[in-house]
Amino acid sequence: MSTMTKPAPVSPGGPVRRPEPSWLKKNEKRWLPVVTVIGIFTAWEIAGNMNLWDPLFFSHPSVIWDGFLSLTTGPLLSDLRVTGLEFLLGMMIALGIGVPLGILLGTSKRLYWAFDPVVTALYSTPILVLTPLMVIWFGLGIGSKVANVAILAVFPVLINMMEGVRNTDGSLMRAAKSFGANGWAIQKDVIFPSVVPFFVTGLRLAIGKGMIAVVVGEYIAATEGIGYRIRADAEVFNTPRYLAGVLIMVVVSVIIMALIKVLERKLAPWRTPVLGE
Amino acid sequence: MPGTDNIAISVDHVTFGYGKEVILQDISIDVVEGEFVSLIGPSGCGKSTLLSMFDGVVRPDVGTVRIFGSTVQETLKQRAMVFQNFALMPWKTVRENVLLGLNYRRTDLSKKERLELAREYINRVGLTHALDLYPHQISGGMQQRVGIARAFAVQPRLLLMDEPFGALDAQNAELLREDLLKLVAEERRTVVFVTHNLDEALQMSDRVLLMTARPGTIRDEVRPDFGPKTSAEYRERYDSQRDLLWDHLKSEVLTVQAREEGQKP
Repeated sequence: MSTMTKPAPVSPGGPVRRPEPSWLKKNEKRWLPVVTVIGIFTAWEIAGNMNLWDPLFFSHPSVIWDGFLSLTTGPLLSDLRVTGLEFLLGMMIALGIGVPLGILLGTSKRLYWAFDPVVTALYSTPILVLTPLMVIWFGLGIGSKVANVAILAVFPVLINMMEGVRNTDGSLMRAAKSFGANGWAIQKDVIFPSVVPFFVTGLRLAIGKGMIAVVVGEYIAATEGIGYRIRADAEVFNTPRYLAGVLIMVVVSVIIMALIKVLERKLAPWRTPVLGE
Repeated sequence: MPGTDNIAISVDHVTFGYGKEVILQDISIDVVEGEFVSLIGPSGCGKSTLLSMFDGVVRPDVGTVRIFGSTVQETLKQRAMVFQNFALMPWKTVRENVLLGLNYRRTDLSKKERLELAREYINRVGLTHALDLYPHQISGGMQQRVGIARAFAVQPRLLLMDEPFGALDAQNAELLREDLLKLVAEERRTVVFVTHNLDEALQMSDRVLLMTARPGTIRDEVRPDFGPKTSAEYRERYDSQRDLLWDHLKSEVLTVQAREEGQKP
């Protein structure tokens, strides 16, 4: 027993430790969102079973699961393969154009002045309205979707690369020069590393835009792909299967965004984690 | 009198300006090899500009700067700089930051030898435990230790320091001053040290050059000599030299202030 009058009481078992917080307490950040999702699905399922809405207009989890099963035994895999291919090809074009062009516009002040207003204007335009044009140019097949992804995803990549290069810390370039770095060493040791966080941000935004582009492209005019499937199911009022398609899109997005976070940590381990990351 | 082969830096009637504004006006200085020279003056007097002239960042409009008898461009490998804001690469660990200069300059050494040199200097600034940490993981004082290790690791004949302790708190600055003096004493390097701290200049230097308000010229040249610290006269001598310098520095600072107030509408 320690008393208030004794200074710095030392118990024979070492210093008094505060009790370890419980697992539940320590991992609140992890399990609270799980509870939210389970709660929503449970309430949704119960409401659906109470026949609160016309099954033609909306559906609920157990029926959507049946829709999901009918998709998996049906066209799902080939649809995902087509959509994935369109998305990947489009992203590769976007990166292939956006990265070098962004570096170029970021490096040259004159080119930046000349093109920045145009690039910014195009970036803030809802380029999705060009989808019909892409269909006219590239047809109903994967070409028009690849183009759609490319023209939407190229701008976030380009703008972030450009700003990344422009934001390179001048005092770091000066230090590198002072220690004898030549042009290539400055690129490699100063400019590229400082652009990495901007690149990842650009990539994240580009992926978001690219996914919208591919799905909307398929939705408007296509013969296969997940976007086409969603629309086809919706048109024949197969609401559960249509909603299953939507949920698949949600899951795919969540997975891709999680991968981006891993990539960011791998590429830029020096960055202090942003609050809440 | 030392011969010219002992001259580390020779500044000969240098004038420099941006546009119409004259920053440095007809400056002539000789720095002897092994000397610790401080440049002190009111803000905006051009002391950092003069230092970056020694690092080849700006060139004089008139006059010449020669380092060890050669041009500034030819002597890149003989000098190293310590920056006020540390200028460490955030994406490089302590070890990699110290290796930076070695990798660019000492291509004659093997990778292993460079690594050993880097380790040695990291050890000498007391950061062996932080080898693999990134700058954001260590304090400002430790970051500047890395900056100092990076400069010493390339074993330059001339060290240029631009207010290296200006961004640190008083206690950390004091600690680093002691360590820097120890390193300089051990290695006998020529040092040009820009500061706005009078005591720092008096305590560290063989010679203090006081600059005037813009356009910067050399107003005073003082060789701090207070005798041994234990002697009875030390404090007295220190104070009298400090008072003299402060008198002059104060008048320059007031000139700057009056000018700034004159510019206000």
